[in-house]
Amino acid sequence: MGLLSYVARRLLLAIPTFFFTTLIIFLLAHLAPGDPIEVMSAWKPIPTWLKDEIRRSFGLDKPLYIQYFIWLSNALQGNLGYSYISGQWIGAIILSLAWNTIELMLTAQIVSLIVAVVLGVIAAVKQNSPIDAAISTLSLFGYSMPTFWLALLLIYVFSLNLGLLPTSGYSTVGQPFSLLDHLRHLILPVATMVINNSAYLLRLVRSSMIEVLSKSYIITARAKGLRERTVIYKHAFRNALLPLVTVVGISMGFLLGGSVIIESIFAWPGLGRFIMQAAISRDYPSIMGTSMIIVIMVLLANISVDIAYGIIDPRIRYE
Amino acid sequence: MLFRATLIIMILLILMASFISRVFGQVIEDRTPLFTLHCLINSTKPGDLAAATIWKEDLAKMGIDLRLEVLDPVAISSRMWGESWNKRWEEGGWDLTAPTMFTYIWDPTSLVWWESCWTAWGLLPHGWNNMGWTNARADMLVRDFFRTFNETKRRELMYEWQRIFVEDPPVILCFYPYFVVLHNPKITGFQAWRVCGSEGFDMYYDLNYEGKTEDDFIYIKWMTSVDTGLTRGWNPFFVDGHPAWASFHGLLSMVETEKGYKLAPLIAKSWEWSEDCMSMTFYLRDDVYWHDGVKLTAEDVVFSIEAALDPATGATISGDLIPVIDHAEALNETTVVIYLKEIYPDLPCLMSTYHFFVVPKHVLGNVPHSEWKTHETNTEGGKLPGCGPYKFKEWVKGQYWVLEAFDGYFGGRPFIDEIIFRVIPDVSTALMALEAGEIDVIPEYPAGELMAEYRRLKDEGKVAISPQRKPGLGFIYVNRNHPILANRHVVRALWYALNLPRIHEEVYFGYGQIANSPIHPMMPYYNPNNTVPTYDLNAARHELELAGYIWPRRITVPFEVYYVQVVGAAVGGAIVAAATTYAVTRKKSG
Repeated sequence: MGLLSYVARRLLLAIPTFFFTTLIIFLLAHLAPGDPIEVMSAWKPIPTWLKDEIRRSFGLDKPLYIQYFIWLSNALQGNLGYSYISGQWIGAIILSLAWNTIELMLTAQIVSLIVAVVLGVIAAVKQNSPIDAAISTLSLFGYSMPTFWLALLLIYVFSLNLGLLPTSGYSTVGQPFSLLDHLRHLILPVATMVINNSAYLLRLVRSSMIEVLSKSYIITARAKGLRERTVIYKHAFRNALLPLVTVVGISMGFLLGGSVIIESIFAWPGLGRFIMQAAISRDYPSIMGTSMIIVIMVLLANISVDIAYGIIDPRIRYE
Repeated sequence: MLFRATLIIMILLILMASFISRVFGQVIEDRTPLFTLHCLINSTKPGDLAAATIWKEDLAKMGIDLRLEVLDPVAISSRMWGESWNKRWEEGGWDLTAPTMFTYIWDPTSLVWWESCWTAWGLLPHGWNNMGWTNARADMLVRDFFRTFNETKRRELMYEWQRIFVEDPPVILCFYPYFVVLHNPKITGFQAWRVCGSEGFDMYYDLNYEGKTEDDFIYIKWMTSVDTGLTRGWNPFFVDGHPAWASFHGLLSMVETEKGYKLAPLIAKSWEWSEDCMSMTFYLRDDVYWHDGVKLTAEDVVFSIEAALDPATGATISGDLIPVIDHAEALNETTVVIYLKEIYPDLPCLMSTYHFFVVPKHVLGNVPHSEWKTHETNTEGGKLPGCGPYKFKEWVKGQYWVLEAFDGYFGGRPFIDEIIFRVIPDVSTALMALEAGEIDVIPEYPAGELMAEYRRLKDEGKVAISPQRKPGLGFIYVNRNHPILANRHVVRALWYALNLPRIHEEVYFGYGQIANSPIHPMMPYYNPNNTVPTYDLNAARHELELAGYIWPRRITVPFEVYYVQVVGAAVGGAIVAAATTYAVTRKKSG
């Protein structure tokens, strides 16, 4: 019951967060200068009377708070509306693109965690050794590298010079889809995200492990004659995980934000690229619909992290 | 004695300083800027910033402070065409734009375009004349031009209009930009785009592939930076992009010839005016088919015109047609009569691809116009058949779409079997993809900042570069509503200070041609002898003087100020002299 009520509390807290975040996004989108009609008339100038006509048909002549409540009431009923620019149903766009972004992010996050845990533990156990120094230097390098530059560098080396991997895209165009081909396309964007993301996580794991390894119960475990592997992975590691679990939830949000750059450079057909295009076009329904999904994804990720936290540390859920 | 002498000299010095300062007031140069102007820079165009920086340096030599304001395109559009369109930068409006920020395809045969952009009738909110340019003589020339059928007279009117345009400029002309296409060297046949506007169907239709025979199946991968199906739709009434240009047609096409642009038959094989010139009859081909096999008839044309004339459709092409066309009628299967609201000699141009498209009545006939945008024919590829040389085959959202050659095309099946439009938003990635052979074509508008990279690829034999002649014009918008820019001499001064040859070389690597007319050399009525201000800072200063601005200002320092300075210096010197004399005297006296 303790875990259930803990989860229920977390879900309830997410509701006002959701409303507040969508309201902020709505206001920011409308406060930016211009509107979708201005964008449409940039391709082919539209007379002002026709612009006003189109604005009325979109409901853009209504007060902002009315527009927000109309959108919200429709969204809560599952109707995210239609794009002002393309006429596409937002739900259809999200259904076709969301999985691509989730796939990219989840893969990057899982690989980042594996890399961070392995290297972080090694660095902590071999503290102040040349191995520790090398790992720390690599993590600093990965953390400092601008994402877009790293992405182009990887394409240049592995695609253009070595010819091992494709430059961009989801799969090879003009050929039937194959899983192996798709995985080859996944490697470079994931690698870019992993290098950036794991660097930070690695440092966290290292410092957390170092702190735990200095605890008295670890000394006791060693004094009892337990194998070093058992001491590290059974006694130290689980306790060192807590800060990592906390950060994982936050890093999901950063990964989603960073997906805009990754998806643009690698031509990955995801939500990040789409929302960037929507923002440039001032396509309010697309911005709001996609943002809502992203907000929900981040909230669910954080709730999952909180639940995992509660499972790992029973003290948390009984507070 | 010595002391008395010194005292007398002191008094004489003070009197002399007073006299000099009264008679000869000092004149100094005031180099503070005459005025400040704000130049809008498109954040997505680094070339604009480089060009504007060069301009800024030269304007500073004339006492004009040019501030460079980098904004995203929609923010720029909001300032220039929003509620503050006629206000200065400080009031939320705008002053100037960067050199070549805007490159429009110039169509001198569109009355709607001309009246809305370049006449008093086009002042916002009615049109697009956000420069606030009002020149009664120029307006009259435009009006007469669009009511005259005599070609000689039309030419005279346009030549005069071009002269006035330079004398009292609404914009500062910069370049006719060159557009280049980077492509796989095996692909040939890139010609000037025939359609006045964006890419024409001929861009794909005329392509060849080295070594390909009729039996070989060849597809080419074409880079595109956005998925137009996802971001704009598939109905040509709403879209300005690839699917429309290769798949749909207007009644006519604008064809580039050696002597410029001419209208050519397409779906319509001929056309003629009525005696009173208030209607035109189009005779259609009998062998045009939609991609689903249904025959195209005059009913489709009338249906399309009616939809374009209905504001409820929300079509971007409506703005050109509604002011001019009253209604259309199908006399039989292959004859359409279009009736006008007023005489408009350039109706055939309005019926060409870019201004107008024919859509199938048998598909859209039961769909209310107001629902066209959200209907599946616009949102899902392949639901709206076209009649062009390429038809829809496949669309994978966000990744690519495929057009395949249409066997039933009335002009003959295209040589290239399939065109795959691959979405690659980042141009650096696209260049590497081209180099790696993952794509075959990168279109670029215009040739510009990446030319150095293009040349490297060409020199290494990896790609070929085909320059494209396209009737585009790059220019600087000037807000003539601005109290300073309302004076035409100030605008001409800015023009004289614009070092276009240097910008041409350093920013655009010599690609393009410096403009001398708002009409492109490829378009009708271009005057090759039209003269424009060329880079000359002395001439610029002269224009500023005509406007009443002289820089640097020469200021005579007021008597009182100078008097205090000089007399103060004299008194100070006298005190020092007196003190020295006193000390010497005391020393001598022991």
